[in-house]
Amino acid sequence: MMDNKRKSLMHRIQKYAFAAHECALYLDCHPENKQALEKHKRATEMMREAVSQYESLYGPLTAESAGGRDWSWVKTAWPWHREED
Amino acid sequence: MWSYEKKLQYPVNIKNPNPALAKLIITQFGGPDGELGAAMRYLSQRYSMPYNEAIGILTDVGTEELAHMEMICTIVYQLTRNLTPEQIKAGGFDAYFVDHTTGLYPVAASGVPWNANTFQSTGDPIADLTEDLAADATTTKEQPAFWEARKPLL
Repeated sequence: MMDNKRKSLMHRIQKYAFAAHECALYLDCHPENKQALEKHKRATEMMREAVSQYESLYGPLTAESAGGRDWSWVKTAWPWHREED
Repeated sequence: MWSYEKKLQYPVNIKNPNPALAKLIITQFGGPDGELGAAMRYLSQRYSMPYNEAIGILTDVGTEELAHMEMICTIVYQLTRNLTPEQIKAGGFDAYFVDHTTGLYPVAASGVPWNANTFQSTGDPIADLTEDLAADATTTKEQPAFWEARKPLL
């Protein structure tokens, strides 16, 4: 079950990750574009901040950030499980 | 190498199971213009690409196609939850179900299994990039305007 706070935090991650990825695709073919570089940096920073907030509250989003008392990687829901369940 | 992020690129929350719809949506997983083929196309073509910019975009787009595949599989998975035998039959899902139950298997809507013959990797940058443009053009089927423009033909 995903409460509203968790859901909105996840949506923030998804939003900033998408923006950062779009900038990255543009930068692949325009590697010197200052505006895109700046946008990519900003989106990535916002994403990282949301990720660290999410992970501290709800568990790891990557295996690298899993661990602790037990292997938290397999203790939280997988993305294809419905947020409402 | 790749690393996995335990999230979807965009949220998927399907309320009502619908096996008939799942039968169609699954083609975007394992059909001729599906995400699996797209990922394999770009990730195969990048090795012989002579330009760093093109290698970068093939790598990043190919990776993103895997994330699209995960969303499509999630849609199919959620559309086929808690089905009764009657729903499976009425939705025309029985032919798929007899082989795969509700496991995700890459097939086209017609039931043809995914095949690498749906794309090319020639080692020639112009041929490959032109093939990529053709592949990208198939995504117009996802746009309402595609069907609107073809209404007189249907």
